[in-house]
Amino acid sequence: MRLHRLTFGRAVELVADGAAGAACGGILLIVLMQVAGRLLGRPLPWTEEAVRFLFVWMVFLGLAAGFRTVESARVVVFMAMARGFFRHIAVPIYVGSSVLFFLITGWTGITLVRQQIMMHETAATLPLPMWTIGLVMPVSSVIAILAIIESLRTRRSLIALPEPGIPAGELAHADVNMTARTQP
Amino acid sequence: MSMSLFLLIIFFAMSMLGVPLAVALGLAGVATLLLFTPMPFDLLTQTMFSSMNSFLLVAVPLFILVGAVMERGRVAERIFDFAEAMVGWLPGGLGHVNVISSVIFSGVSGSSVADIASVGAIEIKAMERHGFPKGYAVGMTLCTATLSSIIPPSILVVIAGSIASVSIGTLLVAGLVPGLFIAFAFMVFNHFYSVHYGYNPPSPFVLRTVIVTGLSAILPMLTPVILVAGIASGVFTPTEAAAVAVVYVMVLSILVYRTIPLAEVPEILISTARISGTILFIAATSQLAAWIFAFEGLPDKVAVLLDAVSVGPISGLLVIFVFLLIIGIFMEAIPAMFILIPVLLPPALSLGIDPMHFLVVMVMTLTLGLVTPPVGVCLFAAAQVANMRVEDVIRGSLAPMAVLTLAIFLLVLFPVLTLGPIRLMGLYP
Repeated sequence: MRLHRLTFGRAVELVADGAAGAACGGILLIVLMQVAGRLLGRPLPWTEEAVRFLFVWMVFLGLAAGFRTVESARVVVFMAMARGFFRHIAVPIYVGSSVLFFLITGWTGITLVRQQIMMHETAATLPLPMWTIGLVMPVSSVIAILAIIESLRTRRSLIALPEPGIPAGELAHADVNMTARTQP
Repeated sequence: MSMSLFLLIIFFAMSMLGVPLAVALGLAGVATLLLFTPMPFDLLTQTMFSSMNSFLLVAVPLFILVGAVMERGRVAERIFDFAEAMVGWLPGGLGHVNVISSVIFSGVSGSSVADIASVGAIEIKAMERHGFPKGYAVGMTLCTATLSSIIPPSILVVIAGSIASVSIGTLLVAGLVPGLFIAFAFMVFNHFYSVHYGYNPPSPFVLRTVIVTGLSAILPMLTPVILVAGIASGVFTPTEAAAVAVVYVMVLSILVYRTIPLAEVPEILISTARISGTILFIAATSQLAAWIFAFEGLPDKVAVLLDAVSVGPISGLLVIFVFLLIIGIFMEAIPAMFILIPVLLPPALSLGIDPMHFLVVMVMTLTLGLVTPPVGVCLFAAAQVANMRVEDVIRGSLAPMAVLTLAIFLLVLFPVLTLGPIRLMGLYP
């Protein structure tokens, strides 16, 4: 049972974090190719579109990965002050609302992909059908739901009761990623 | 009831219950669409998808990557030593060192909390060692860290420019002089405060130390030079400049200083992707809210309201400044920018407020929220780094916070501080 749980957690981490990290590396590489191409007088017109598409994949996979580590920005001051009933409903509210949101984006994401297939939408410079990019919407929604389930298993206390201050290991960029697990 | 008001009420109610802000905004948008418009809720996904299909926003993860590599590359000590050699001999020296270190580190990291976590920890200890009260040391560190939010390469400025669809390069450069102006205000305050209480009397100036520490810190300090010079000269776009800076700082940290093992690079990329996704999640869902605000004509209504309470661009910006001060206390800078720039920028333009000036003031004002409770992540970070109670940090920060607020107020009154330099450099008409 333990092995199964570890495998599930590792699988979610690999898919969400690994793919998002790879997309980030890909963006860096292609932007550098764009710079080199221009400075060498041989511009690569496909680079801008490739960067945009990788960026879309990176953002949506990255946000799904953020749910695994409970990093999404939220106001926790009021819940931290609450007692009794409101404290008990913190986890169901967080999980319920987030899962509902990703069910909606997953469902409407499928509609978006179907539209892109029906309209035969293609990229302007790359030989790519647009549905390969739109596919990130349902895919990231499914990963986000799996990530929420994983966080419920491994980081339930972070969802339920935010720690005072910011965990030391997460100080860097806390203002930009807004892991504001704070209380007055 | 107005649809915008309904959306905001649902959003705030869910936010108070601890729902992630982006999720709250998305669900509030869907509920508003279903109840008030004939539009299908597919609009949520369409707006989310199209808002991220943007080359402008690609600069965000690259700027985060620059900061992450520099922060892990442990350059804070080199920067602090150089700042100490440069201004440590002045009356109230370590207070000035605090300001200058933050200015230099801002040009390297772009994140206020990274400033507190790295160079801030060194600053607090050094100031205490030189006889400054701990509250004052922490307060100065906390407030000077906000310089990272405006001095290039500020991630908040990149995001603000992307939302407003203005030249990110010009906006980044526009933040430089206001950032230096605020730093100067901190130094003036520190001088009089230290002289009054007799803290840290002057010590001799040693040119050799300046040269030695300067040489040790010169390579990381070239990062902002690459960024600003590359963008201002037109050689690179902001996105390209950030990518070149990433390569530069990676070479520094991996090959020159050997502070980051190569095996750590994938983890840095993953962390950058996760941070970017988390930040831009709210950007994606706020598009639906912006669509609803525009559908109802909220910017026009705000324009009429602003017109009624102000007599010109400066008084209009003062009204917005006060409004943002209040908003900044309750909402973090990034969500506030995504929600408010589409609503406030059109009325501001119609009042004759310059967009660059508006955005610089907006970023700085919302940055005040980083140092005030209840959502001030910098405040909590400073309390943690200094091992102090939050209340004591607040008490120690009151005077520097007042200086910061006054400096932003002066920036509102004197647009030339923002616009003059970019016009002189020929970056802005």
